[in-house]
Amino acid sequence: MIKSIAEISHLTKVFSLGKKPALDDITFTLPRGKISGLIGPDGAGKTTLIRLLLGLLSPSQGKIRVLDLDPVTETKDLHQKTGYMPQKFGLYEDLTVLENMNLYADLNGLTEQEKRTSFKQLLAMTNLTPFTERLAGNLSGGMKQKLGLVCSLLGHPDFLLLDEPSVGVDPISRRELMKLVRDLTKSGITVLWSTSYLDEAEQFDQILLLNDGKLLFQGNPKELTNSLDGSVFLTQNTHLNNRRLLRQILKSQKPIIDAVIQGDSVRVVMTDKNLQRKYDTFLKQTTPRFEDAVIKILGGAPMHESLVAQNISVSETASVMIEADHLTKRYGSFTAANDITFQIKRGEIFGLLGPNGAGKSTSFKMMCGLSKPTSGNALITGIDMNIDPTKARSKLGYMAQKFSLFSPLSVLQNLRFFAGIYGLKGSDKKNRIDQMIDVFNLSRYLGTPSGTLPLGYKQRLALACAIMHNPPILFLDEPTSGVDPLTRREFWNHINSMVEKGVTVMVTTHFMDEAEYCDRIALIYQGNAIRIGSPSQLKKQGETMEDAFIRLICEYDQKHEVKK
Amino acid sequence: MKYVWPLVKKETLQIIRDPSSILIAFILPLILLLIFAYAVNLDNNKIRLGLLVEGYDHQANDIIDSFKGTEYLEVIRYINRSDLQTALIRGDIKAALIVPNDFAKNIGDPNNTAHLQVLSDASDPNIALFISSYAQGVLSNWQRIFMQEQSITGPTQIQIEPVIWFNPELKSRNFILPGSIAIIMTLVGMILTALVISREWERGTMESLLTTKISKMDFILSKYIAYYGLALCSTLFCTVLCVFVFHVPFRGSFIVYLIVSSLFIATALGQGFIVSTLAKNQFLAAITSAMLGFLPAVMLSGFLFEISSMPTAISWITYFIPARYFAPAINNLFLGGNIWSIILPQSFFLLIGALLLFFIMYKITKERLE
Repeated sequence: MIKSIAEISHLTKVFSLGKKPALDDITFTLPRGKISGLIGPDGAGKTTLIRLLLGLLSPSQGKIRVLDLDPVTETKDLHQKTGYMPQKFGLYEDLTVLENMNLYADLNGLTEQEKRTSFKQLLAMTNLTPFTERLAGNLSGGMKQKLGLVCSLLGHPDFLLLDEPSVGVDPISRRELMKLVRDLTKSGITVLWSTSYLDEAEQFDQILLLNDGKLLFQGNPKELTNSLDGSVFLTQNTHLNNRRLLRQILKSQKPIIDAVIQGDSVRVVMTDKNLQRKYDTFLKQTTPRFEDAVIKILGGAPMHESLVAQNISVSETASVMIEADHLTKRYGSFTAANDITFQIKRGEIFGLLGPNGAGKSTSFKMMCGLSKPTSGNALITGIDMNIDPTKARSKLGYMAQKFSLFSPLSVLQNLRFFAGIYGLKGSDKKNRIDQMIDVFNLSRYLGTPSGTLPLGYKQRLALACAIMHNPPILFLDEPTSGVDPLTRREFWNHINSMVEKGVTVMVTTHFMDEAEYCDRIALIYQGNAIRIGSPSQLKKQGETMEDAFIRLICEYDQKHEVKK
Repeated sequence: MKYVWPLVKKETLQIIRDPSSILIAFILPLILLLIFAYAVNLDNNKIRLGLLVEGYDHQANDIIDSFKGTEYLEVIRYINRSDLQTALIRGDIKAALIVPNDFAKNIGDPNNTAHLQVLSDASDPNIALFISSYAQGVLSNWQRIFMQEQSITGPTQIQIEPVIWFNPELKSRNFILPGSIAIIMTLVGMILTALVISREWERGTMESLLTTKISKMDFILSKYIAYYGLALCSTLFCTVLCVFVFHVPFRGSFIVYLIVSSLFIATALGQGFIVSTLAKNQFLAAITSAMLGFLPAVMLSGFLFEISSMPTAISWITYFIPARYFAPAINNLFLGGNIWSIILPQSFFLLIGALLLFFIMYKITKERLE
């Protein structure tokens, strides 16, 4: 029996001539019976790699052997032995759970006898037995994901490939899935699992870290993380506001790889373990995380101050900038948001955190006047969104979840258009556009249609367009999902520097680590704001944000179980 | 090929669950049939016909009477040519019949030809066509009687002999409805299928299918079989409406009708699948199908607009429109019966088209993602 399930050497994939390769000279092997994580930001080449392994794409250069077969010439033989769950799970939403399973079982050539035994076993394993008659489209994200897994397992594969199985799925379901897959490997199945969540990495036996088509690291994630032992610190006893402290650290020219806000303190990754002694009084050693190591591999975080706020001044003096007053939204008998109340103070970053479908977006839409509350009010600087939406909205800069700029227009045309609709004119307009180009490093792409920009630059342009008119309030809907960690740091540097000048920010996210950037968080679950508080208030000693999130939701479920 | 049936089952379930496919297969044809039955009416009850008689005798009178005696025409007398022309130009009358003053003289003279002039306003070609053929019909009828009365033998003096076959009442509905089935089925067949393959790509299920054991042939055949079933139901629904609701006679063989319709459905499905495969986006596919399917079928199938009166280049294009072959075949099956000389060649061309489209579909269906 061969030890490795896949051997890839010097693999390159170019989609169209003259373009940058989607995968560039990649060599690795996948060990049998292990879970390998394929990690990288959107556009890194993860999906391309998986498709190449399955023979759905053919390589431009290099060699691929999977299960000792050539995926291009022996495609059908290969598919006999592989299971694949594509993005969006590959389910027929208008078929029931059982009909989906029947279809994939038939297409994998299972006999009636085999079907009966595997169905029973797989349904029990995934707790889907009570839902066999439900349409796949009516399942929750977590259940869809499990059904997708079931369907990919029906052919009894030796090698299971999962493409971003955790997108759109809440952390609890994510953990369950990981446990299921872990159990599978015990029966000898090899798994390749792609993800853009860095915090999933530590659960894999080995990882492949992809960025921009290049394989940056292959190996054990724990070893990689442990290599930073002793060089990661949290600030303590500083009496300084964490954001101001972060800015000073970024400016300090010290040998620092990474510095990010974590709750009340700043997390600092040093290049040298010995440096700590100099700062003993206010640095406390902490355990390194996988993300620290990734940043090191990527060459360290951008160590410069954001210039975006240099000309910003917020004239708004109200102390409460944003207020949700018993906001409720019902669709028929379904309550999407139930009696949500919070206040956001000037210069605060406030996060709405919760799984998909919990009611974050509904609350968010009511706050920016895109959806009318069934009852309750949304107030922006004291102005009721329902009474004077135009005036209330003029205080807002809004960055939508999906890229919502004009894709065919060039970067410069988009900037000009947004400057125009915000009423900027003449030299004002020109100066502001020049400043945005400068701050966000857009000069290289001015003539490029914005739809074809790399994801990081799309986000930059979207932010530039949202803050063009110096809004005192910024609404950000999942601003950095899928973006690589360096760009994400740069993005938050910009946000932080604006908040320092008094800008107020409301942000939605399902990235747990992003919640750390917020001053306060509202945890939204089943339409309710189940907890509001600062990240350090929500977390218990030693917990990550995700642990805290899962604990709070379980507590909530138990309490309501008891009530029923 | 053993994976065709599970896929057909899947398609069928999807069809049943998806209200839009029922809408397209049954409601859309119903609406279109109603439009064709009531709104597109080529019958010209009471067309205003101007009449100018320059020379008067009893033969001319006979002819005039036979025009007057029809319920389709309202005859208005004019005294001079200029009034008649003005009325025709202004649209007061749609056509004019002029009996010249030498008509009576020539009609009795075997060495001369008698002339009648029929003018019609061709800005409405249907009316123009109708008037001229109607005039010819009336005249030849009159002439036959006249010649019998006079016991004249020899060459007929009026050369054209239009004979109104199959639709003796000249009810345009009987002619339009069967033809419109060809157009409706082009549209239905293409729209039903246009979404089917683009949907698999958009929802990411295509990728899942590509990694199972199915072959390209399984995939294509399953789509054909499932949607053939639905489209055939839709055709039968249209046929039942035509025969039992609109009382269009059905004189041909039902089995032959099924075979010809099946061939035609195969061409429509093939076109839809090809559009769907190339578009990879449901919206684009739907628009393209409507443009590529419906409009040419209406304009170029020869069912509303006579192919022989099209410019040569355009008439060449009509050879690529499957409805061109289906419309006459179906018309004959409804109104004429099994006229093999028409049905066989048209079916042959439909078969060639269907096979060609299937072949193209097979060639452009990819087993990889690039």
